[in-house]
Amino acid sequence: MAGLDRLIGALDRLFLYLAGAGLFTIMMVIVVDVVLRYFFSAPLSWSFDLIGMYLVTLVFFLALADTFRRGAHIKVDLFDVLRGTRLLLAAEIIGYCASLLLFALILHQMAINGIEAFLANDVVDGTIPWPTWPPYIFGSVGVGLLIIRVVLATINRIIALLSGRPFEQKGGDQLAGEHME
Amino acid sequence: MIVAAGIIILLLLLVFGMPVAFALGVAGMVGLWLKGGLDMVLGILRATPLSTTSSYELITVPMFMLMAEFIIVSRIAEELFDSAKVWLGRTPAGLAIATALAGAGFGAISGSSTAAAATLSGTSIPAMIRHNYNPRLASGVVAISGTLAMLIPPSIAIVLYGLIAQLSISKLLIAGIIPGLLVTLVIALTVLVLAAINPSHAPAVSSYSLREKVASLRIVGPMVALIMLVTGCIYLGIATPTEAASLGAFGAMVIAAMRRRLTWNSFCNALFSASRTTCMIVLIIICAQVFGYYFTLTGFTQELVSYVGNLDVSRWFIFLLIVLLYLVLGCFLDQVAILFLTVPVVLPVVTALGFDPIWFGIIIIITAEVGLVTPPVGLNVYVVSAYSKIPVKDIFIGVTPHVIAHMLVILLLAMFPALVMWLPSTIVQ
Repeated sequence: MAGLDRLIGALDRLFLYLAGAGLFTIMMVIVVDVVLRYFFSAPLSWSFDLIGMYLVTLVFFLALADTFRRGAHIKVDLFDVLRGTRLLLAAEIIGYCASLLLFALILHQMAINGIEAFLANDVVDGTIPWPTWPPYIFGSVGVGLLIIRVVLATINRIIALLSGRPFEQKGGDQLAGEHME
Repeated sequence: MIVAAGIIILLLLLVFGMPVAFALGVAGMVGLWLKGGLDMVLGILRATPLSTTSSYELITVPMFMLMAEFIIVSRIAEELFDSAKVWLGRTPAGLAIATALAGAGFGAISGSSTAAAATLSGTSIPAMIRHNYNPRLASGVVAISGTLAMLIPPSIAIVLYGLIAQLSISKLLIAGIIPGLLVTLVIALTVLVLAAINPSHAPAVSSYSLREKVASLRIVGPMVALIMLVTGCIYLGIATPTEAASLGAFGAMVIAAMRRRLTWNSFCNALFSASRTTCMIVLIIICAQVFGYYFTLTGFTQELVSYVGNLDVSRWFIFLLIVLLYLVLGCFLDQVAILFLTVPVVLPVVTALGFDPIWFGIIIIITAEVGLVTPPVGLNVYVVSAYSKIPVKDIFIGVTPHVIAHMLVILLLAMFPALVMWLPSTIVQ
């Protein structure tokens, strides 16, 4: 379990670097576009599609799992005193299982859309015929890794619930013993 | 019945600590399934995630996030208080007023309230305590001044409201300027009143020479440059909010580099932090869309609008109830969660009653500011307490006069909507 968690952690990290690189690229492309438009009357014709279609989806989907691992998704902390109790663990397990169903359906639809777009060689209308399948791939990969993270978090809670051992949660949804940076 | 099922599931998931996005998505999925079966769920889930993320305007959020991160790295904000202190220190409550001005200055170059509170906690509270300011007064003014970043552009909360309400983000951002200055003034007046009541709580401190005053203005250059890059560009119609936000992030990065604060680690951490916050917000947007489809298909929002419209009460009474609702929610929920959970339902009611959605947006952002400093979940108070080691209870007590003053600001803006609406009406198109 710990080995699997380290492997997933490495993937989280890799994806986070890609998301960060995507964010930096978005900033630079827009700045260059604005400068070229106002000072040289030569805007980048491809920037809108590149950013809107590819880079935003890349940043969002590839950061999904790491954001969950660090517990960065906002929650209502009204019942924090119950955190780690059997009642809340059971409720969290149910909630995560329902969330897994939601994310599995999203992954299923993304994958189907991506495969269909790839097989049909689907491209957007415009000066550059950007293929439409990469965003679905970013989405499928990102949601897939999130699902693995949620499964791990759920298993962790089930073990804690069945064993009666205190559940260790260090702010995020990582497994006990994992290093938080 | 179907509406009730979805709402109950949503509330249960929220109460049991599920992430807000997960709760919205699951409740929406179950509601859609009850309404139209699995086909309806799959139809919505097939299109929603990518159609939501493939939005050019959405980029404004991560760019403002990134700008805030680079501002923190540059540590420019820490000098804001020192600069204001040099000019105002000699007057009674001068350090507290300087804190309010530093909060407004921070708000003008960053949209993060918690970052503002953390920065001010590290600079202005030690200075005030050193000069025998009352800890409650000192921490209270820091906690409330930090909230100004939510209102003064570039405000991430205002961008989110604009995205949810599908309003002009340019107009909304510009609409926050006068109320932001007004709130700054009210914070300053409040500390002046507190100092007048008990002068020993906020004594005047040493004066500075003209040379020191002029030297303190070195911070003004980069600040003005950033304000012009973002708010100036939007107001003058030079750039869209997305472009202005990107220019602001780039400008903040350049300033951090010029001040030799930008290391590879701080650069990567800024990108990672902005990516994570963006991810958190975008997942909420996607799941709120799923939940929104469910509400739309059940006709709940329309029924609510029609019900409220037929009530035999003044529209101002309903407005008052809505403001009270936001104040109560602000005590328990995160501000981002409040916006996504309530605006899709409340805004149609408000507009049907004849209120302007931009004006209403600014009002609820100010109520959200109050939510950041009211117990039990006042986030800014916890941030200030963590940095200053002043007990949370004392900060809540210290911020109470400011909460009351904020109520007066809301009343003023309700009586004179032009305070909000005038400036956006003058934007260069």
